[in-house]
Amino acid sequence: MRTPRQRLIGFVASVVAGIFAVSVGVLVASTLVDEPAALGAPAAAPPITRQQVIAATKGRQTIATRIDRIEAKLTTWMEFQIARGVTDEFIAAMQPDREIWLVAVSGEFRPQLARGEVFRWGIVAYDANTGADAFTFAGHESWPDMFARVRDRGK
Amino acid sequence: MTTRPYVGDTDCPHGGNLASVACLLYLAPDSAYITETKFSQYTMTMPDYLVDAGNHILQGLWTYSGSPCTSFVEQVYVYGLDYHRYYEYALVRRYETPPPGQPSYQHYPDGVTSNSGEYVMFQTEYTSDTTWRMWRGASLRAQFSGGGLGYGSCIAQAGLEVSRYGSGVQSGYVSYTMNHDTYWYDQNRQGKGGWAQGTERRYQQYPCYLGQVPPNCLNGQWNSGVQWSANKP
Repeated sequence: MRTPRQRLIGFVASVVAGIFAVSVGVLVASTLVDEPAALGAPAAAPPITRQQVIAATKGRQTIATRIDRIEAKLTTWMEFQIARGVTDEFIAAMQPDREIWLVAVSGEFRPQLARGEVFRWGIVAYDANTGADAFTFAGHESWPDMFARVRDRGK
Repeated sequence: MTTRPYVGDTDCPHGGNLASVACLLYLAPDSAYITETKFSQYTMTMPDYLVDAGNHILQGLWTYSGSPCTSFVEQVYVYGLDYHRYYEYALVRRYETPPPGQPSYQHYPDGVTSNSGEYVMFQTEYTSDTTWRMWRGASLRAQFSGGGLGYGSCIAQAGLEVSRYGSGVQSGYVSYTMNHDTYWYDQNRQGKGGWAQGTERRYQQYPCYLGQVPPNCLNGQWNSGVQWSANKP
């Protein structure tokens, strides 16, 4: 048999738990609703096109010295960082919402500041609004997994 | 098959490009926590056709880390990078064994600049727990962690690098940027002075010694225990 005091405590506990559950539910729901909306928002076409960045990368004949495969995706710096699992990095020149074209190539890739090292893949990133170089990545695998995980905003 | 970064010198690793660099060597493994160089940005040139062919001329700071001591971060003042006919800064990371899923090589353009004589400081700082910072003056340019590098630096370099110079191309290169004031700090962040002082510092790499003339060397000498001078008149 519960005493009035115990019932009161139980009631208060139920109310608190209910408020907590609703709050969490609202939070989760808002996250679920907001996230796809943010990621899925149709991007206005940037001034720089897919064809332009692919052509520019092919033109870097002393860097992309052999191209077996080439693909481009439109994304933002923040989305790319999330796709490659990096959350604690700061690069002053890169703002989170900076829109960039990623051009991935496989074959032979020789970036200028790599001291002559030859890689099997490269990613050349361009600012989607200006066409300026944003960054260059390279690696020794056959194809960059991080690129495969990027959602293409340009499609 | 990859080209190792040891081309040119087994003690003070460097790529295939001709360089005149001061080298901070024989450190206890990864014992330098801060390495830096300061210099004034003056004119550097190379012919347009060489820039268009993917060549560059730069003055920079390289900080090696890891075991073996082959991973590095690099900060440069460069002309000709990625076919650009202008002066700019750039940041580079090269991992011997990158963190899982990450690239072996990363390079970020870090802003257009000029040859107006501005005094600049490049600094690489190892903080703790695998975190590294790259500074330009008082401006933090990059911070990253997650492994792939060691704990502090085992070798550092500062000076001039040119690509293709001497391989049938001998004219049109100039670097009036020259004097690097080099410093380093240990694990306790105690200043250890310039790189030319003490037994663990040495200079290298292709400076012109007595009787030598370019193109098989570049000018390079210690002006003092602090200052390495690397130029090409």
